[in-house]
Amino acid sequence: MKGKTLGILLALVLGAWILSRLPNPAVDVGRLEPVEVVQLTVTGDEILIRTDTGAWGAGSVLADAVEALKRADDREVFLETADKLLLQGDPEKYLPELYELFRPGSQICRTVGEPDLEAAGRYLTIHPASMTLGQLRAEGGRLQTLILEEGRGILVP
Amino acid sequence: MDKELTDGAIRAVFANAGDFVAREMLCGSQQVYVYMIDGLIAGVTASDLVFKPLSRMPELPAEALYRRALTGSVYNNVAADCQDLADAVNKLVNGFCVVLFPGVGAVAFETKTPEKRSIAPPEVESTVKGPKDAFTETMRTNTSLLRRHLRTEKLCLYQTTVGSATRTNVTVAWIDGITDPVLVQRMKARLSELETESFLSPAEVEELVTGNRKTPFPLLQYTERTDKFARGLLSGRVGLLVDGLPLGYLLPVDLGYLMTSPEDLGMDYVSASFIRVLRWGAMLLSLLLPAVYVALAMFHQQMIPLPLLRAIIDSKANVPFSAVGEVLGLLLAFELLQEAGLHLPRSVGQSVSIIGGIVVGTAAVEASLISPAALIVVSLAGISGFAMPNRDLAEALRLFRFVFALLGAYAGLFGVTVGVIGLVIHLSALESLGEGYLNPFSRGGKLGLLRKRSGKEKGC
Repeated sequence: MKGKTLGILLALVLGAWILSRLPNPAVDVGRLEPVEVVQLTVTGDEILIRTDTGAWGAGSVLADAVEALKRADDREVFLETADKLLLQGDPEKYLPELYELFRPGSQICRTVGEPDLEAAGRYLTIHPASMTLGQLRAEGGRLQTLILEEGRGILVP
Repeated sequence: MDKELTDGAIRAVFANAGDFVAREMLCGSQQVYVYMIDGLIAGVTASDLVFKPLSRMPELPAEALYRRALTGSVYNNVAADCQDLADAVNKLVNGFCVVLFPGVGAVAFETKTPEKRSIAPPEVESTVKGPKDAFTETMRTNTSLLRRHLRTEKLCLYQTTVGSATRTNVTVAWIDGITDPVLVQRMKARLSELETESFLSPAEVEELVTGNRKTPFPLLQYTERTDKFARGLLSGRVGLLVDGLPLGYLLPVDLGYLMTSPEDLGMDYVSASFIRVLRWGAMLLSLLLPAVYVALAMFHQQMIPLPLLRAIIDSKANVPFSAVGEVLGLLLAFELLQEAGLHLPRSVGQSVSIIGGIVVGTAAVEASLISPAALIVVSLAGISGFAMPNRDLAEALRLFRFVFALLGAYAGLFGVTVGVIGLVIHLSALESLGEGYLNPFSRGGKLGLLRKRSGKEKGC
């Protein structure tokens, strides 16, 4: 009987240890800062990533920029909720990383200047871009460009 | 108690019983002793059906008087010969009037008081269309109720006594030709093997009869409804009636039995099947919903649809507690409310539930102490638990709800999955009267998810 109890205890401890070794740390949903619009600007060797929540981060590679973005906010910047992706500059070489980082259903388009991301989000909600990240990955194609001026926007091919 | 059956021996047994009555009287020219326990016998019955006939008996030798009393001169419904002192004492505590013919023997006459609780509608297992006769505390009333539902000579009732101190009368019921004789033998053997002083409370009965309470899951099914009990016997199960308990037990039990309700037979097979499927869904919701919510809210936010995730995040913006803190706190509060409602009078209990559930819940959400999402999740799980036809099963699920929520907080859906696997292993190891608990899921087992059409419904 003692052996059986000991065995159960050992199994429980082993189970708890295995479960504690899981790769994903727990983050409470209340600590998340949901992001809707992300702008990715590539200029020379620097990548700048901005969100509609006002957070930003920069780095020489995309991973560093994202890391800096997450450190910049007290709350956990949650890119999984981003469903509008604006590209600026020459970000083509980072597309494989973007496919992993964002939802396939996210709208993707180019932009010019430094647009108000909240306004961009509102515009794209009403007038969605023609291409999603998943479509771009599967079929390729030319991205539309979003131009925002004085609160008014237009998507041009 | 192997003493000789004498006046002194009987008086000695009840020396400290204030309600014990002993009387000397003349029967013919012979002196006899009459014993009874006040309160257990009906005075008028004893006077009319024992004392009067005894006093009118002719002058005969004691042995002849004894024989005449036993064979009908004392016109009583039951006249039984007392074998020894223990037998006489047993008859006395069961409401008999014992007449001792010194040096010859003793005869016990049934003079039980008719005072007992009348048959009332079931209080816990309420029914809309079903019969309203629930079991009472008197075993003989219960067997008579059973006989009224099952008017067949094949209904077998085996009576025995359990408990060295309480000497509780117990009846094992089954239907000859339907119930597996092995099950009956197992039940009888289990009762005969019991070495206990008392057999009074449901907890004692359940623990002693099942012989394994290392699980919160019920290993026997109780019911206060006679039609449910009769239906259980008709499905080949063994019934157990205990004197003093207003309920009947059915064995063996498995998950399928616990998920069906006699109400299902009171409606058409389409509605009944729908309700049964709904009930199984409610069981899963009750068990897993808080755990899955905690796991998703802490580990797998990516799996939540975007609008819903945003709504949850917005609702939790000012809440100081984590998702697991909220859920566990609400589950605890829910348990407390239920417990409080049980121990209060019905009218007050309802008020507590309303105040606790609606007023406090709403106020807590408005004060940003909890998020609406967590409140909805816990409420849904709680309501789903109430859909369980068996209360013991619902309580077991409540317990595992906590365990799963903790596992979800510790390791996300992986932890919940480990918990579910552990629960299935635990359930598969359980047995009720030698039958597997998960029998409905075994090959050839009947889950009873859909109610079968009766011949009449098929138009036969």
